[in-house]
Amino acid sequence: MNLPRFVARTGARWLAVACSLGGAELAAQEQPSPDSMAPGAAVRAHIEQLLDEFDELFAKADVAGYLAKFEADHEGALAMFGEHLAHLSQCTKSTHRESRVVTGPTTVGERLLLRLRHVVHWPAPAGDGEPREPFVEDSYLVVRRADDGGVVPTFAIEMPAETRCVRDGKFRCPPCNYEIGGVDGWLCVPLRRERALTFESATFYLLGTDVACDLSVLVEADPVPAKAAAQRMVHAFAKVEPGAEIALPEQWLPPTHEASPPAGLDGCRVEVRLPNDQPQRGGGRAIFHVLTFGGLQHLLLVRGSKQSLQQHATKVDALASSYMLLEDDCDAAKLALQALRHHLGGVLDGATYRNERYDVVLRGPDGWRAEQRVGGAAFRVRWQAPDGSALWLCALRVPVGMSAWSTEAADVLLRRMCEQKQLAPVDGGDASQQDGEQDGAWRPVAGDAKQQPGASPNPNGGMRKTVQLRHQAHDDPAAPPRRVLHVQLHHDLLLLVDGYGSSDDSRRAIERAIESLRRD
Amino acid sequence: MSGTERPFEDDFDGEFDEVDAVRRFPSEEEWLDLPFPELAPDKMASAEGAAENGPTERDSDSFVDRVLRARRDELELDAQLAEVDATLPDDVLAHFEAPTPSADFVDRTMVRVEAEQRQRWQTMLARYVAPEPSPDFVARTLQALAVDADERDAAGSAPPLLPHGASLDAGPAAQSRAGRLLPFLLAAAAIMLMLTQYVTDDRHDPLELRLARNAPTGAAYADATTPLAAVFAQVAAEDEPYAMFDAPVDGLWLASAVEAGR
Repeated sequence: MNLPRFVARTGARWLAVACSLGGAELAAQEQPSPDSMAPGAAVRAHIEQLLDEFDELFAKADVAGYLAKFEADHEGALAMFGEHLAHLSQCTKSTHRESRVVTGPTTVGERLLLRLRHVVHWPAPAGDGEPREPFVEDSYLVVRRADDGGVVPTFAIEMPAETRCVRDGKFRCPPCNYEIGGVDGWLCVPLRRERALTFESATFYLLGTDVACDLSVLVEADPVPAKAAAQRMVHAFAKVEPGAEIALPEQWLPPTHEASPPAGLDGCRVEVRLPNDQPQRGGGRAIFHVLTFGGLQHLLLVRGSKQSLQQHATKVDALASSYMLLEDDCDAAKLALQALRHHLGGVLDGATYRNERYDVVLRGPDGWRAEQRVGGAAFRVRWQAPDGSALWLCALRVPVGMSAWSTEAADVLLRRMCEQKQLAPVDGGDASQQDGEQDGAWRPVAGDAKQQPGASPNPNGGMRKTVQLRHQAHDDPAAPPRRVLHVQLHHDLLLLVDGYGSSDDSRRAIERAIESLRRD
Repeated sequence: MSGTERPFEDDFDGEFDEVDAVRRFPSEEEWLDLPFPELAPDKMASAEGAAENGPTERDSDSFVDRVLRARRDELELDAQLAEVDATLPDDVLAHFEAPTPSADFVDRTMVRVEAEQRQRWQTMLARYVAPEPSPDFVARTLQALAVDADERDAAGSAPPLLPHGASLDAGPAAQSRAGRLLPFLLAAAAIMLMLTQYVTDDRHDPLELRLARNAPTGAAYADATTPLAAVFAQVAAEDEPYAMFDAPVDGLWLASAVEAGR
């Protein structure tokens, strides 16, 4: 071993540990450990060696070899980490990754937990191109101590750089009015919005086991009974997982509120059996717990093998017992709006949607039913007419892995969406066949006349384009045959307005709504 | 063989002689030649009587009685239903016309049928899964075969893989044949091991991975570690089948697609 190099690298990494700002978050999830469990220098050296090996395997795009180093606690999480690595390797074509310890190792149960930061370098550009900024991401790594004094990795998962709602090992969100977690042995891993398809989501993993509990928050425009919401979820689950066997729903309330449930709180529990999963451990179980408070829904999905869930029932119960509403006495309708405003930044005032966080305004058609939709976008609003016409406003932030929106990226995105939704520009996008500016060409946003079509977007302004689309599939007679799509591109936000009208009046209403779109 | 010399008979009066019983037990080939067992006359009468006398034999609880009774009840019910069908006017029957199937009826039905078939096949095949030899067993076997081959090569001795009773002094031809067989045996053992592991491997892709692989190309939620993302995508697809932008795109995928398009 090259000792000076080893010392230099090790020292740099542990200096980074000491300087890390994220230490408090990870320390909050650690458990007090006896001195005998405290990781010593030897363990740290083994971890450093392991990270070097991981980086070498990543550079060789050897995901199978990477995963083979693990003795998986949770097969699903590790498989998804492998998918992510493969995806990352394929998209970046990187042959150089540097990993370092940000925080840890700290002891959680019988495992050691570390937060890692990976810097993935893009290949050098061809010609005179400027080198790209490295892609940086964080992950959790869990190891166990081997008998020979070394370490064996057992768990790894990608995690977002921001973990604002995690504190003291708890996931706490006052606008959504709940907290959960802070229980020994559980690791809380928040999920990015675009991954989870909802504005707030996290998964708690019981380290050393295959037991996990997913948490998600949803908001519906109208209050839905917990039983209906739960059944909707499990039936959707059964469609994507055909082997699922759904049990009967039963009333359920979290232990904290079981004795005296707050007015308006409704709960339901539905167990789904997955007989084909882990049959050697009694089959898989996915137990949906849905709590509704007006339009606000808290969803907990406890999953694992039957055997593990029985074996660790006490720990699972402890996590369920840690769930609590922060305020018992509050207006359910206001609570839903409060959650939407906090996470999405906007409100509906009649037909007009106004988002203060992104300075976006759109006046929707009068008389149409407007509602905010929860999903993976920065925000999304839908207007529906009594005649079946519909209009959407959707905002997408710059995706992780890119530095800004560009017309090229927007065009690739639009092409992909059109392919997936079986849409095509009317008459192949021939400008002469289009109405007015609905020719699919990029133009400066009004008030930003210095922008030219095809030019890079002005950071303070934007580009726009409008295109008419037709539905290509003939197997769905209910599909709207034509629709209009308007795109407004800003460096930090992509605004998409699309809709279809069943009548001339509705189509004109959609065009007026598109014209009203403003971003200050 | 002895089984044919002395007809099989129940004889429990004396002390049970296991060796004798085994000796008298017919061989597999002899089973087909055995005489057809005679059904006791009272049992024959009971079966026939049940068919003729009907409800008067309900006291009897034999298997035959129960089957015949169930069959008779079913025929009676069919006759009653046919009678009712004949008396119903057409306009009444028209009220019970099957409703128009929903748009996704066929898809849902096919999914359920496929799931049921898959489950049945899995259940059936699971009955024929052989016990899995341990990796240690296979390794030892392969090692033993390899060592044996080396020793034989070194000593020039006849292979122990000759058929039972064959001469160990079969000469170079036999040795050469065994030598040719050995690689095939090793390969067969390796294939057996792989097949056994494949058949008995009850671990398949984890739930998260299965769901992720059904996600559309480039969707950010394809890397979700929670199954709920796929559930939400399904709910959204049902709620808003004609929405365009319901799932954000993955940034790395988009960046690489842009790069590829340049």
